[in-house]
Amino acid sequence: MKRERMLNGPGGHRTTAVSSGSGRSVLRRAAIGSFCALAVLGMPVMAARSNMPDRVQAAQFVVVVNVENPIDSITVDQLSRMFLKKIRQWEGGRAIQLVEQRTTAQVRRSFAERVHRRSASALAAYWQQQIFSGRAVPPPERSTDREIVDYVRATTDGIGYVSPGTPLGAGVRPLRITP
Amino acid sequence: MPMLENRTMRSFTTPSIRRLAPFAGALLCLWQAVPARAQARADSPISIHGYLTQGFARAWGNPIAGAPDGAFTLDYRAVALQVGYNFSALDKLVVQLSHRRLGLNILAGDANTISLDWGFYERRVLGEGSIRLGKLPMPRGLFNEIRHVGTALPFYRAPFTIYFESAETIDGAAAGFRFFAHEPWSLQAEVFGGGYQFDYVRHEPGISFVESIYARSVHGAQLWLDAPMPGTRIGLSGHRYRHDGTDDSTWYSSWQLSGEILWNRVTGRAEYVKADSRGYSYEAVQTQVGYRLLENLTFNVQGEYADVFVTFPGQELTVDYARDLAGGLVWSVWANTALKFELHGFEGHALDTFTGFQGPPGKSTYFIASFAVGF
Repeated sequence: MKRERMLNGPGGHRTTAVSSGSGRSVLRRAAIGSFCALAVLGMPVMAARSNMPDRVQAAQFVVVVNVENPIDSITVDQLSRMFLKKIRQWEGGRAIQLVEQRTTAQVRRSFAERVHRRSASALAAYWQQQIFSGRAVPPPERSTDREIVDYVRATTDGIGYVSPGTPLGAGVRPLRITP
Repeated sequence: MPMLENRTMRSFTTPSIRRLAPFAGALLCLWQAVPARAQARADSPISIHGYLTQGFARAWGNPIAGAPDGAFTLDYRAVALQVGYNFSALDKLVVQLSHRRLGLNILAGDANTISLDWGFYERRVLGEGSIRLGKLPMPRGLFNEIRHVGTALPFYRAPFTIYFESAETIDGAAAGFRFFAHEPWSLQAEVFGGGYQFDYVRHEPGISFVESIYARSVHGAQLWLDAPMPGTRIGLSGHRYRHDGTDDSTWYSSWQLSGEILWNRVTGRAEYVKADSRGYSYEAVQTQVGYRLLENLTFNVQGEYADVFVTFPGQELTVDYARDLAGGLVWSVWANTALKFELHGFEGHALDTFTGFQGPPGKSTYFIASFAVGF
């Protein structure tokens, strides 16, 4: 027997509903299947984490902080969260002062792929999300390694990254990265 | 009340893109000007950002997602300009204006209308926390806060069955805090409250029009659990509300489960939403998988499945609301740009025109090409 009823469809349609045979179980199987597929997709991601030390050690960048910063090491996850502005403070409670390489820098691409595990374009999309949700804007950029080093030297809570071999000079030291 | 017939006629006789050209032109000029000033802007208390997405859409079978059947439309865009001002390291004000058209779809904005997307004040508190007041994007799922930002979406629009064309913002307040920020697993929690306007299309014989309901006493929360692997997270959000015009005892609710993996060449996302009210419920699931074929070229597939369940004493009826399968390519031509081509196959009742739910679900195939730029 067919029965009808007016309702406000959540998709924005006021409709008359009728039975058409498919049920809740199909949809829930689809939902469970989707999240299981996502978990399966995530397995190689998590497995690849065991390769993290090698990848980071082979990275074409050096993370630098001010010599007055008491932190002597940082994990890859923490580094990623900092440069995505998901972490805003050092563990001691002081505000993190980020400085980024220019968008086209090779070292920035390397940092994105090895730390954030994203392509440069995916990272750009992330910042578009942050900007237009009103949550955050990207860190200030500097054009050269030397400018990055100068910024960190002048900023007690600063952190940046430069190409390997960049002279750091007084007031700036490399930060050890751990898996 | 905008009528479907009038809007259909306007779509093809008066290309509103011309009237919006100054706005879009100003955005593009700003985009060109910004790189030269990038360093200065980054350290400035004022930030100016914008995006423009211009689309081309065509449907075969039935009009859907604003795409006309058997014809094409260029009346298909989203454009926004955002200005932020940091009073201090802890305080900022954000205002975003936008204009949006989605072809024949009567929910997606009026022609020539530039509206306030959001305007809110944010105060950073307790280091990893924030409080926001004003009109703000509702913290809900992966895409609600960026549902029209073409450079951030794998397809032209966020999954329709999860985000609809309404209920995007909330008039009120939100407070958030990141727990265990330095631990391998960290938790981002957010609570919000206030009200919002929910627009929907009402179909009557021979005519369709937009009606609005104001959801009040809205209160909800969202949790995001970030895994130790960058780009991997799972989230749960939900909210309850009452409608104007209903008795105070009637609460409506919606909750949503989301997961995301963004990992180098591979991306995966899944979301499930369930909404309940007196007499009916709605459930939908969407899945997206993307693979980066080349440095700037990504292939994406997306599946959406949604049903409406109507409950009578001793009986439950089901409406096949939407089954949408899509494939598409995204080419990031330059930084912060995206050229997209996507093809959707649809079956269900969530079409732009009233097909009558007594009959079988309608079918449609639709194509969207779009170019997006943001700065």
